[in-house]
Amino acid sequence: MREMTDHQLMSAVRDGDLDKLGYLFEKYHKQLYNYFLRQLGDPQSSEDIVQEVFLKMLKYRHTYRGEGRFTTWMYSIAHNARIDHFKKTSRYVATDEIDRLLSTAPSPEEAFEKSSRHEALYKALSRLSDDKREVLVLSRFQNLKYEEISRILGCPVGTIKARVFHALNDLRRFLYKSGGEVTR
Amino acid sequence: MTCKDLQDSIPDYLAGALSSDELGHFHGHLAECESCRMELEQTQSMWRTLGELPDEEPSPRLRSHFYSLLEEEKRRVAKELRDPWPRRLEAWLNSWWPRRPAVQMAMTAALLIVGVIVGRGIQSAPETDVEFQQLQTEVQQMHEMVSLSLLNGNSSSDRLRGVNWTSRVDQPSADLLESLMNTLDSDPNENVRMAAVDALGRFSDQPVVVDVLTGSLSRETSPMVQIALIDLLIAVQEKKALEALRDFVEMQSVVPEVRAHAEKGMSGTL
Repeated sequence: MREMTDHQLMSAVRDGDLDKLGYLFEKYHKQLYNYFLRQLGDPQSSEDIVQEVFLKMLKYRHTYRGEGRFTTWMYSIAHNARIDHFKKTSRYVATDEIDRLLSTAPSPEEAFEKSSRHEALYKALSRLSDDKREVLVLSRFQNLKYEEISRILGCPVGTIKARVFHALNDLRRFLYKSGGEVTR
Repeated sequence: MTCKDLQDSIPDYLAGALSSDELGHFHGHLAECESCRMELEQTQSMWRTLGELPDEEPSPRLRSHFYSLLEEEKRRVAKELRDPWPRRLEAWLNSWWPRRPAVQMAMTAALLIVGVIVGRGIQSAPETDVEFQQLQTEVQQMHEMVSLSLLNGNSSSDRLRGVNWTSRVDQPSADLLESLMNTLDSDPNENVRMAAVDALGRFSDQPVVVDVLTGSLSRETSPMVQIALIDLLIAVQEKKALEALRDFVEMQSVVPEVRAHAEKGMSGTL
């Protein structure tokens, strides 16, 4: 079968071929999981919200118009789900959750130093404001263009770029302050 | 390119989004400005460090939950395709069905009685006129009960429906009239008060109603409701009503458009 684009897959889902959502799930669930994980620091909640995002895609499939990229639509849903989650729960990223997350990483000696750097990074990320952390996650980890992020979050591109710049500066400050010499 | 321009371009530079022209200016400025070089070096190093964070794997639970969710939705859709009309009927009925249990009961009873009357009408003429009259009275009482219950509702849409329900009542009881008059006098929503003016207009042959209408005119603050009251009082053509209108146009607080409307009405040119 010729490979279908995201837009064709989602249009098929909208028109009743629900199995096609499975392809989109396989392609994007890990990306979405990491999008939430880097913002919440909690694997369990991150999985729950990924589940919620796909449920919403299924429930609101009739509203998919295919204007713009599929990922813009998907991350808009994800962004709203993240806001709803923050409304319901505390924004605090539990340190023991981060530790648990990192303890599952492979632990040969060489990896030890790396893992403590990751821990410091996760902690620094958790200290960023929600707005800055989200644009940083979307641009650095999800590899979205600033124009696309601006459409997802509904703010001007200039604001997005400024947030990225300030987020990086804040992160650097947090890392040096906490003594985690991670930047080289 | 100034230092500020360079700083603004850093996010684009990091994302590899600068055009070759822009890149030329960017590097040109860097070659001359040490502080910008340092700024870029630090920001870029943070950007690179972030790239070290590996993607984490979700647990297998996520996949299994997703596919069971998908199966569930497929079953639901298949069922709906086999049998689509009950859902539509249910949605239609839901849009009609009142939320409040008291109103639900009253409506059920009213529908039952209407059903009996229709049933008898279809069979033949009613057995006796007396029985038929009795049933009609009961229907009227049910309409009253529904109206009263809705009029006392918390939401303005319920109260608006309550006012509209009174149009099904031919002879209102004292309770229903009082409730309507209270609505006109004190409902916080001007659309509900407006509907109450129209509803009371149907019962303006009752002296108490005219009293309430004239009283409301002096207290009402919404120009929209004031105009509805003026029109009704003029249509009533009672001495009391015209006196109230005369007092009204003298009031300082009346807006000019409403005053002009009342004066026109009184001079018979409306």
